[in-house]
Amino acid sequence: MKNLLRTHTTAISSQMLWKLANQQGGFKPMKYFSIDRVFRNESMDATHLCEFHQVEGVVADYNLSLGDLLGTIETFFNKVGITKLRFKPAFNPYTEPSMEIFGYHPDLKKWTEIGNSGMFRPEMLAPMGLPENVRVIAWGLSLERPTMIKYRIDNIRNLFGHKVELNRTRSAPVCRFD
Amino acid sequence: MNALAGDQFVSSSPMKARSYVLTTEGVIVCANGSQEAVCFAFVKAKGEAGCSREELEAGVGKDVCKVGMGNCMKQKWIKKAGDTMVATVDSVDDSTQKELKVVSDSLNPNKNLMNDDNTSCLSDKVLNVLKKRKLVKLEEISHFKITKGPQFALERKKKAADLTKEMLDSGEWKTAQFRPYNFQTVGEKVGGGYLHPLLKVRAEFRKILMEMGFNEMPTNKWVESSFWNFDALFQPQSHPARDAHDTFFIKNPELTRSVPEEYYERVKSMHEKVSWCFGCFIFFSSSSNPSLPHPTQPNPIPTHKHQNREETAPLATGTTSKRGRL
Repeated sequence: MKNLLRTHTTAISSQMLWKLANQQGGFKPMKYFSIDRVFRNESMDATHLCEFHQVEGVVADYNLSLGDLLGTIETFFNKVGITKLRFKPAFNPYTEPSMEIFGYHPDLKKWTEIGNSGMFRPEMLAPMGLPENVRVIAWGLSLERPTMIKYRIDNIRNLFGHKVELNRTRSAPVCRFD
Repeated sequence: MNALAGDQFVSSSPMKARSYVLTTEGVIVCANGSQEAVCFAFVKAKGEAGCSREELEAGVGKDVCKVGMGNCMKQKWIKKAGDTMVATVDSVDDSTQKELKVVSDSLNPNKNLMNDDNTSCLSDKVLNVLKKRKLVKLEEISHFKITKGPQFALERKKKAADLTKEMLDSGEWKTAQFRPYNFQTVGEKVGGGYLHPLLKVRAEFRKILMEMGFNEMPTNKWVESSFWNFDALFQPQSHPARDAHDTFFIKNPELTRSVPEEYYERVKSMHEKVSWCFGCFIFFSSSSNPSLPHPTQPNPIPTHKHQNREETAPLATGTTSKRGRL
């Protein structure tokens, strides 16, 4: 098995779920999150870099449904200040069903994709040794996009990398979602 | 000088003086006489016959003639008889030249155009006329009056700004002279750290997620095994993210040393069992750690196709920028 720079933080989530299933005393319902850097070897442009930060939430519990996923996502985005949400069925390799999350952008006045989500496939969960009726729901988004919207930055190179103006960092106001 | 004044070696007070100086034209007039005097001298030299305007112009120059002739007429030094001009007096008093000489002398430091009460030796009226004729101009000169200060000394000794440990050790503080404390200065700016906007948003997101009862996962490593990154998640071979073009593989160390063996076996058999991902496992395990069991198939299938190719095709062959990032 080759080593690589992780392409998503779900690589850690899979390990955490395996540990959760095999811990002493057995599985216990759990909510996990992570916000960290991931790497993609793809061409760069104004909104894409080879590295970015992924925000990910994972909930493992008995008999979770798609409704739990919708509710969790809505709670999270409401706290972030995005109240108008839409979900679109999508395909992800390891979740089924999967949904892309769209938020209404008040500046652009249009629906923009803000994240991806789904329920982990039972085939993926079964080898971990999780109890049969345990379901795992997860959603993720990038940290860059909400930051660029929050701080009105239109080129990702002005946010991250060697071209970032130090004065912007010095004078950037505190981030608050009220 | 400011430093000396600061240490009270000297005291200084700013002074301002205004004085008239000659303009370039004024310097010429001062040396050769005023335009009217030059014109008069030229006409006088022609005697009874006088001279025409053209002759005067040619003799003294156009500019001098232009100013001088009119002034001569005004002062009745010359008069016009037909086209010719003749002198009416024997000699003239060139007051303009004399006045300019007074101004010129005043620039000598020993003399001053200004009297003690700051008035000029020349009347304002005279100066205004000269100024109008652009022969003099008013200049303001700033200077300082410097006298011995209360701390005057022939040798300069620097005053201490701060009390130091060395001064305490040597006892120098008893005799040392200190500079008065300046309460007016603005303190030095403290250059603390600043959070990057991404970190500010991350801190806020983290707070929100913790409020919702989530626990943070230990994501503090960037290098991962393809087992955890792809295989444990059943990421199909043909998924674009798994392509060498989309993943940064590590050259050294190239391979993962170990993964939980029992789990590895279960993942492997599931890969072989599930229809949507059949065959995935062959590729990843054959290029893997030799200590781990090899798959039953002897050769990897480099371009295997999914049974449900139709479903995965848009993601597998689509552009790399458009993809589910979960």
